[in-house]
Amino acid sequence: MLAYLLRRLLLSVPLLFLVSILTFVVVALIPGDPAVRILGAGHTEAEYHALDHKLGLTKPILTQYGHWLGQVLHGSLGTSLFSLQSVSSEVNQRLGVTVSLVVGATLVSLVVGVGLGVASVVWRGPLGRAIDAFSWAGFAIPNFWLGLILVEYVAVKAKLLPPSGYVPLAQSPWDWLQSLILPVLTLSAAGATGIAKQTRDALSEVMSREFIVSMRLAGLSRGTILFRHGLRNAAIPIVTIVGLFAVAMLGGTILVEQVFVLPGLGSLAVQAATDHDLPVIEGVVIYFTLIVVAVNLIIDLSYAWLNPRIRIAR
Amino acid sequence: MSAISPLQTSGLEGPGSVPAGATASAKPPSLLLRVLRRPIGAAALIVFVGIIVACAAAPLLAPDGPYASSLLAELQGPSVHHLLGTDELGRDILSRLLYGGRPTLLAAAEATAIAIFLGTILGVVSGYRRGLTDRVVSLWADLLLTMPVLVVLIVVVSVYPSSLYPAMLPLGLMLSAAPIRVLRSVTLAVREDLYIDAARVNGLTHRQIMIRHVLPRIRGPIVVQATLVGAVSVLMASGLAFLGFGVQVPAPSWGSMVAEAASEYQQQSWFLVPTGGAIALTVLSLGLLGDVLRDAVAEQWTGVAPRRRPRVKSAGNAGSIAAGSAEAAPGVTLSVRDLRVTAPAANGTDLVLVDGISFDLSAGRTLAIVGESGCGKSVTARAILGVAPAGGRISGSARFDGRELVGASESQLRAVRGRRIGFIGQDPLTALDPTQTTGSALAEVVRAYSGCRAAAARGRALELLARVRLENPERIAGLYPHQISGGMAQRVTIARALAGDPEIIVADEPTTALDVTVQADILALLVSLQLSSGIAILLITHDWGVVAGMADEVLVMYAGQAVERTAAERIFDHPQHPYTDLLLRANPQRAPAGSALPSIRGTVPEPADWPVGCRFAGRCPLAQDDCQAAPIPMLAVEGGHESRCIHADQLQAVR
Repeated sequence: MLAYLLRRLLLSVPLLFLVSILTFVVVALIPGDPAVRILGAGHTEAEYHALDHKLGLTKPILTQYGHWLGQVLHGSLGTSLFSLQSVSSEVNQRLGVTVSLVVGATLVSLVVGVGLGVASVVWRGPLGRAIDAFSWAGFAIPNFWLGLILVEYVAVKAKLLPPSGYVPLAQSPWDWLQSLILPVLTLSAAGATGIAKQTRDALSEVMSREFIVSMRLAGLSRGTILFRHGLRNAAIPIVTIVGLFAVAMLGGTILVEQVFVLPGLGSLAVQAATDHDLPVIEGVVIYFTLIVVAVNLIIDLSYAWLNPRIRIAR
Repeated sequence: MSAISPLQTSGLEGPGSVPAGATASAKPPSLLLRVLRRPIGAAALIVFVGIIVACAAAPLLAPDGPYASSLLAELQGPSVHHLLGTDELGRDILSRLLYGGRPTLLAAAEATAIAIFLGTILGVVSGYRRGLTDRVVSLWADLLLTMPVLVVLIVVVSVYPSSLYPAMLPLGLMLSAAPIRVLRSVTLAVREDLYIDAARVNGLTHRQIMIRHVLPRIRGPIVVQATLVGAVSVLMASGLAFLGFGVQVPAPSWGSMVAEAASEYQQQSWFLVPTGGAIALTVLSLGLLGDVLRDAVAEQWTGVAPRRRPRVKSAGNAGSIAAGSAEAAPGVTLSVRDLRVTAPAANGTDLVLVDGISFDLSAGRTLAIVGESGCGKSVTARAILGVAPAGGRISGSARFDGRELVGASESQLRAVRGRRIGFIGQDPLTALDPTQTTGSALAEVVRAYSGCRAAAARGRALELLARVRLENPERIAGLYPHQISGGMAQRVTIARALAGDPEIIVADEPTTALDVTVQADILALLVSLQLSSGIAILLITHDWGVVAGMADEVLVMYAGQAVERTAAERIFDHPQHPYTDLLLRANPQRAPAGSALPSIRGTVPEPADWPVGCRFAGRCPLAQDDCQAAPIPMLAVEGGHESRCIHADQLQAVR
């Protein structure tokens, strides 16, 4: 069990390396020069070279990466080329927004998706077909578009919720919740419908298995069989897709934060990419990858919890 | 935006479940034709091709140029002049959508081509070569699946801000994970096929085999993956453009048009509809096309339209109650009269699976139902407890302790199932929930029956395990089904059947799936339980040894009917039906040593092919013309012995 988790964790190390090197190499290819952007139009050649040197941009890429990696191992992600703030503090300020979004959207899509999926197995027929249609809509509608439509009808026309902005939890839990409802709904639409479809497929397969019949023949109630045995056995494919959607929704925050003007990691990434602010981009990418690693670890833990074969055999 | 479609994951199972022996003998209609035959497939294909053609032919079709603006007509709704209205600069939205589709669709096509190219190569090679290559490729695909796609893309677009195309390279790379996985599993299945082995014998190199033999056969799954990856690519490409990456104002693209619409929605919310709608419609048509394609490909693999595995489902109240043909004899625990089970066939007609079975079972006695597979023995056993095959109906009568079970409600049946009639199935390992320890499985039914507390239920579970003579019940109670042997698992299911202190146990071939050495133990256990608690046993079997060891009475079933019924001690020496006679002769324990074991020629006919007359006539050595003329009734022979044969007298002559 422990060995299994350790092995899964080890797999995340190459992922972190791969993503950080990839980012470094790609960003180093950026034709626009950060030194030029920082200095603006009226700068001298000497100023330029001085800054270029100070930023370490004249060194070969590998040296730059080695320098950055050394920093990271000492717990620092460097400083932003523009705000001159430390990358860690800038990223940490925004982490809460993105994590709130991803956790909220994962929970909402899990509850709604599994609920709809179970309902469609219990009632079949029209509800099953409706869920099918619904899941296609959830898949095809771009979330940034859905977000704009929700802003238009729920926030602007009906004035039920704020159209944009973010209130930290510490400041006002009620306003925090209100500011998150629309973004979370937007983000979870695709996940909820995808999870509903997967739940329906997995659960109806399990419900046709022999042990379910033998439980009926043993006189157990429908509810016990469906929830305690059916859902439990269907849980692994459901959890797998929840994990994939959680990772996808993490990427989706970039668009949703843009639509709802939320100060999260995604909007920081967009800003830094536009500014060619390498340390910030690198920092955001590392944080995103760490969140992905955390999501995968949770998924692996739940596999082990759900499947005794993994828990015991390994 | 989601990087996964609802299909991609379920797509893993679809084409992956290729029957290993599938051969392409008869050429099925082409994939395109099979897609067009389905209404949704035809609609999705027409919409998708329509969008592609319209965007490609934008210079011909668009009513205006992409930049032609009219300051007099800003932000208009749909009109005759501007079918989809105008934007903030008075440009025709339809024209801009047609032109704007080109960079979006081209970018998506680029990513799709890269993903499918990489996915096919890596998937086929890893599925074909297996071993280390396979493990490395699988790890690589796992790694790709965990990349935060949009973040990586944003990094790349910031390098080349003026165009989407460079970003499509890493997008294609990351999206290749799903095709790698799916095509790998399809290749694994294809590899098992005989004619690839034959190709190897013929001296082709591995590369030639992969290109000439594997690739053509996995064309279907490749196309399915292409549509799904394409759908996700369209979403990604338009998402990037929405963020302002890869677009050059004023050139139109779908994503950037949504962004323009977003900045104007306070004045004109209509603008949002056609822009986002174009993206949604394209993605939807691709996704639906992929779904239909997958079904069509599955049809190709299996040769027939996929049929669902029959789901066992209760007929519930649907079963009509026919009056029993005879009253139950006094002192009888279970009295079954004229039990019939029908189930809908593929063509919509009702098939009769069990055709008028009657028997009585008294306390402490054992009735054996004997016959070959496919005679309806198991269906009969389950029907007594109100469980019929999918859509099936149970009729006739099964009276138990004064209650009618046929047509009883689910809650009435639940009061009987397990609590008064226990059930033991054929394969103990599939009869237990794999995620539950044996102890918790037993405690669960104990609590359901008695409503006792968890601790008491656990104690009772241990008692039950001891009662079925499992050594060290505490240890067994903590084990999962996959950790115990078949024989131990069968003892656990017997313990479960005993949990409610039932008066009857229905045992459906309880030893068929077990080792020969274990079979005797399990039967001895059942016999001793019967002796100690007076349980009646309804035993389904095809093993005469079991009948000889346990049964008091025997009912022989053939093709859904009872063909012979008598006391167990009579059946071996005086069979009164040629089917029984042949079954007995085919029994290895009774055959003289050294002689060839006789077998019954032919097989049990399918329910749809059951004849009007004697159903065994086609395989019977005594069959004459009058056998097939009309249904044969059960005929009394002597001493309560009954047989469904009009030429049973000749049986004595043959012997």
